[in-house]
Amino acid sequence: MVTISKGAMSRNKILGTAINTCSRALACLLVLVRSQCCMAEIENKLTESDYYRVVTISTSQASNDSRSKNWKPGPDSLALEVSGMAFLEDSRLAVSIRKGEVWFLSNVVDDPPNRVGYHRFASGLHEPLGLLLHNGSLLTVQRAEMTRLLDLDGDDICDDYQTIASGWGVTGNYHEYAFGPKMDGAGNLWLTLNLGLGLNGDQKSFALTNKTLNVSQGLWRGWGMMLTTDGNLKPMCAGMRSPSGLGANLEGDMFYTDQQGNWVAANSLHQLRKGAFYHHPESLASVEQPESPIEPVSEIPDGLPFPEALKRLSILRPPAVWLPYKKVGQSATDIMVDASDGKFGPFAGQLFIGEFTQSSINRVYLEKIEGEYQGACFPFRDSFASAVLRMVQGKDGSVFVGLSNRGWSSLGPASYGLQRLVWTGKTPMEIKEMRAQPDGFELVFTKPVDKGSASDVNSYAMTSHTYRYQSQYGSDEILEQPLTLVRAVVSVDSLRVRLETGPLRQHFVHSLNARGVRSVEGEALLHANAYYTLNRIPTQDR
Amino acid sequence: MRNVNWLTLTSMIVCLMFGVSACAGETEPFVAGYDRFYSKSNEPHEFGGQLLLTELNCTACHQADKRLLPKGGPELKGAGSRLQPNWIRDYLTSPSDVKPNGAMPHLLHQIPEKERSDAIDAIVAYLSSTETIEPGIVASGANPVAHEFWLKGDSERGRKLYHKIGCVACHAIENEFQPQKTIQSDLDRKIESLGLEPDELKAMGLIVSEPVQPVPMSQVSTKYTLRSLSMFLIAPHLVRPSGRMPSLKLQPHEAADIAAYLFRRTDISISKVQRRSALEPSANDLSENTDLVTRGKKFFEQLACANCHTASSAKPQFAKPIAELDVSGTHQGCLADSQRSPRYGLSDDQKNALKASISRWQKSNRLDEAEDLSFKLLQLNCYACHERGGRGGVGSAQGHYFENVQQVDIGDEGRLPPPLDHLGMKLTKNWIQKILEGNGDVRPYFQARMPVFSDHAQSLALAFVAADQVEPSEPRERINIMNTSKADLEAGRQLFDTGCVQCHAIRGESLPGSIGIDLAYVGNRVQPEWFHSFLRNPASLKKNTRMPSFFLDGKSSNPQLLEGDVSLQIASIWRYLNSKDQPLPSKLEQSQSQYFELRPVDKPIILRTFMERSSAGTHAIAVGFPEQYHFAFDAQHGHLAEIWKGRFLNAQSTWFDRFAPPAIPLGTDRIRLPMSSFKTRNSDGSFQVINPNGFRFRGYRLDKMGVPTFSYTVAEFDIEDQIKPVLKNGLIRKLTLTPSDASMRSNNEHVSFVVVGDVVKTNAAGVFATSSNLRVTITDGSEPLQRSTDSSELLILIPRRQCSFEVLYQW
Repeated sequence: MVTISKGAMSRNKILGTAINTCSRALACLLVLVRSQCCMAEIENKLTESDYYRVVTISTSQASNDSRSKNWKPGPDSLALEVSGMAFLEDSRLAVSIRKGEVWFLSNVVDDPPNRVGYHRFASGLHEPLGLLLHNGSLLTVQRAEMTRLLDLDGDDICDDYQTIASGWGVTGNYHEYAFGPKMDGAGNLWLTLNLGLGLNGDQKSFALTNKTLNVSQGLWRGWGMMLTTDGNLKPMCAGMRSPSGLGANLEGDMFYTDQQGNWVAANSLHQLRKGAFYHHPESLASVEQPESPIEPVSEIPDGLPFPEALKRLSILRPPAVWLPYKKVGQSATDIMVDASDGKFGPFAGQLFIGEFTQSSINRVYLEKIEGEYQGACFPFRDSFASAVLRMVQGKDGSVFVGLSNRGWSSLGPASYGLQRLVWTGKTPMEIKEMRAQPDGFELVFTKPVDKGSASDVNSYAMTSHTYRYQSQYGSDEILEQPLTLVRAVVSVDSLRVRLETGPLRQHFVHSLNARGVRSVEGEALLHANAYYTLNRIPTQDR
Repeated sequence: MRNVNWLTLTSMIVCLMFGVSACAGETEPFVAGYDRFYSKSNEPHEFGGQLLLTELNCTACHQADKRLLPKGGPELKGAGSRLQPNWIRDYLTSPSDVKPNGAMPHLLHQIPEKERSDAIDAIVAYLSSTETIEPGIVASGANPVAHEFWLKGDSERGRKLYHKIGCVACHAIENEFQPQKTIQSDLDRKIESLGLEPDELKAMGLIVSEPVQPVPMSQVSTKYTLRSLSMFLIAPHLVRPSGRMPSLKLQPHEAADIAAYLFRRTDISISKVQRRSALEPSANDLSENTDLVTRGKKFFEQLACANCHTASSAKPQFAKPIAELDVSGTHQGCLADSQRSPRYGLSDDQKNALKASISRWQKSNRLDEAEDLSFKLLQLNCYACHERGGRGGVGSAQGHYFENVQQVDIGDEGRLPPPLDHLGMKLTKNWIQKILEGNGDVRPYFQARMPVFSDHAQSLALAFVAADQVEPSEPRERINIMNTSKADLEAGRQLFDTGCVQCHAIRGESLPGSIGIDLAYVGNRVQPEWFHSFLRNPASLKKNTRMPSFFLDGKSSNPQLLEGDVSLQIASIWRYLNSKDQPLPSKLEQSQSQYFELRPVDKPIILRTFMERSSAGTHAIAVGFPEQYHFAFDAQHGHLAEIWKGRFLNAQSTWFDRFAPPAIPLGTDRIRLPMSSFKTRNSDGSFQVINPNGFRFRGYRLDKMGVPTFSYTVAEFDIEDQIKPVLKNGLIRKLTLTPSDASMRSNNEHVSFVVVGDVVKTNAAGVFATSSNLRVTITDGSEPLQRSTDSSELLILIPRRQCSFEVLYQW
């Protein structure tokens, strides 16, 4: 393995130095990198599962297609289509399922999980899509309200379903999902409201219309809502399409993910905050309401490159991180911060993003430049049994992964279930952080790098691209250009590499392929690709 | 190629490693249909020879007419970047060493040995000079495509898929691979039941099946990259337009899995070969040499490569047409293995068959409809899976790998591709075409997949219709019988319910554990005459079918329906199956309700759901009681919206339907109450509906019996609202109202509770009746009743103090 990689690399070097900036050379380089990879597969290199092990607690085969009208659960009695998870104080795992129940699962940390107990706590809910333990009791968001679930008589069965927030529009359109709640650092509870899709006549009569922009949606559809600690529900930010995931980072700032579609060029991660507008103009059906913190606009530009659209549309805020389509998933879902302080491996404090279609989890490193979040995303772990919809971290640092693919499609054999991702204790060779610098990027690795490979600019290839902000579904990666790599300087401790590049482009996604880099032990990177969304170019070295 | 196994592959690889020249001599080309049906015959077979003429591309140089169009070779545009250059080199140097029993003849022997290597380089350069072809793969919410999915294949998953979805009907089985469950074929079972010795069986002619030999496959790990092999498997027709290798509708990740498996399977100590080729200069480098490319094109034309392969603008070179070939004497040309002709390595029987077929064709080139169809089935190797006219079908060794999804033994019909007898009578031409285009699958319980033959769909569909056109055995009035207006939908439904439903699905619903084709809208694909005949006597059209006859000796097993008129009964089933919006057969309704019907037994059941707008709307809370009295509460307006008796609700749409349609009450005596609950009184004494902002739902609490009490606030009154059955007599609703401190001080207009909206009658006992025959009584409460100005509404004026009252609803 080692011999071959060296051979392949030396060839990369020859090609690379000859015509470094030429995109054709880049293509050749990729061809070679590719064939090298075929061999790697044949030669049995360590894979994701050697570092992060999937333990199956429950998965089920569905008998028919996940998009089918007569979808049915598997032959087992409990359709564990996990839509929300929260650990109770007694260490049982509370799980909400899409058909409208909450179950308490005991002994979920057993390995193998042979003694898991199932107890139904609540039922009759309307597609709850989140679960949170809050002041000792569970909160969930149903299609039409946020609900506190209480057990007053102590028989371990919910007997008090308290509506603690409601009032958003529900026209009856299937696509009007409501997600949450999650709590930010100040104790506010956040929820997000999916846009309706293809409202029928009856549904339209219950929608609001913004005549200036000619858009119709139910009240606050496509908005992020915040329930303050004194119980007021406030619309905060708009422009969401399918905001199926929320989550705070360790600093307590709240984020949401959106999914590619009309006006959403690619999956994205955003900070939730007052007055921000993210993508989709149909949410502006509610912008003329007195509670709206966003000023009405008269026009939405359609078809501009995103950096241009930012200039033309003053309310538009760029995502903290774009998740390039296919490369980092196809439908982003939940957000989970690794708060285990190292029990889940080397990524403490980073965000993990669930991925529906590809049944995987991606990883995000965030940094603040001039007070604004931006950062990089990386593939992390694939091959879950079904669509990853929810994640929650246990006390031991392991991550419980809730699965359900109904209504869409996903890789993997199951239609729903619950799995657990456990760090094996082995540290993978990964790019842990990718940090912006005025003249390039700094990479922080999980393990010391081999200086020879890491200081060779031909171990890296970079490009940058952006997207089109448009009413059409999704966007290609546009205005792509290769980025010249001038120098790669390895730090004294061999954990960092400073990449000096040609000119950076503001608001573009900068893609890195570091396939040539080896650890001191000669390992290749487990994932060589990283994608940095450069909203701001730092003016000083950091 | 008799007995392809991994030993031959290994020897092949040894050849590669020790240099190609050590293994000279061509192997005879393998043509599946010829090998299986003609190679063992004692006489040279004209028809078999004719198959060789097209499948070995003889007619690409020796032109005939459109009946004998050559198969054609792979598309070679961009082949240099799709295939490993070393493999191309080795293959051109000696095709049969690299792919024994392949159909590609040796051509480069026509070039002097010392120029050969240069010629090969030139051809490789030429083949690399154009863009390679790849299918456009669009990822979407419905189509997962991992980034660089071809690197993410899992060889073990691929191994299972390969042996499951039908690859092994044509290609080699891995001997170590065990199918999940070995299922005996119906024939084997019968033979076994005879209890005879093998000799005796043979004497009776019962052991007939010769083993089916696999179609040779290249050693893919030296030929392809994971990417190019995955792409090929996803869309084989792009590279092989002949359609002989069809698409099995692989998802990108499935193609990656199978590619990984095929790489692993053929990767027998070849890492050296692999390493060499992976580090060898990329073919792209050669393609930059324009001089080399130009020479390559010249060789390509000179060797008549272009006759079989398209690659940019190279021109074909034709030889003497079939009509002018002299096959009377000794072998000549290709048959003589001449230095100046392509060398196929034909066996003697192949040569003789070719000669026989050419002679026949020179005399008469006409094929009747049956022969024409049979020829097409041979060319596309449909016989590898399907039987027709006693010929073909899955080979006995291959048969074990055909299973159904649930691994239930329901005979060969439940796992093996269906026989094609009478197909042109059975299916409409359009449906046959649709199947061949890959859109007509009706057996979701098969693990094997019907491949796609788009380019042949139309001609094959026409050939089936032409070959199977027979005089109707009974008068043409059959059609009229099937179209009769006397056909009765409900009778059809009952007939389906008594028999068909045991195995068949309808509109995606089936009895648990049953496996059978979904018969909804069967008229879209099946012809009515065939349906009629098949129901009357299934075995007459499909031997060994497990489909029972419900009309033995022409008598219906349900004589009570439609006076036992068999034709009318069949026509009624037909009409029921082909009509939209019909209720499901009652057995299915029952089975469905077992899963999804909410049946309160000892406690109420609560379901939050969407209901129709005129009922409880999008904030509905449906509550069902064991007493069989139920209601739906609109939590957006605090409104008792609908009440009903009997069965409660089917939750399927709420729980599992992607499009979340409104839930519809199942029971009887449904009454929807007018859309108002609270009103304010204007100064002129009229009432108006309360401002929606004046209402706030606060949730519900369950008592020990599980009965919910709703809490909400209306215009600064906190209200507790409980509705439950009383004495099997109706629903009783108790409201407790507490004014907030603010409302005590306020001078707002009075708030009224609307007891009932459309009073039409009042009797002396204080019972108010509505237009929908609802009877309403105030059973407890001292608050005065009021009537709206038009006296249709009955209201209670809410005082500014705590109070409560009860309303009884009976209907």
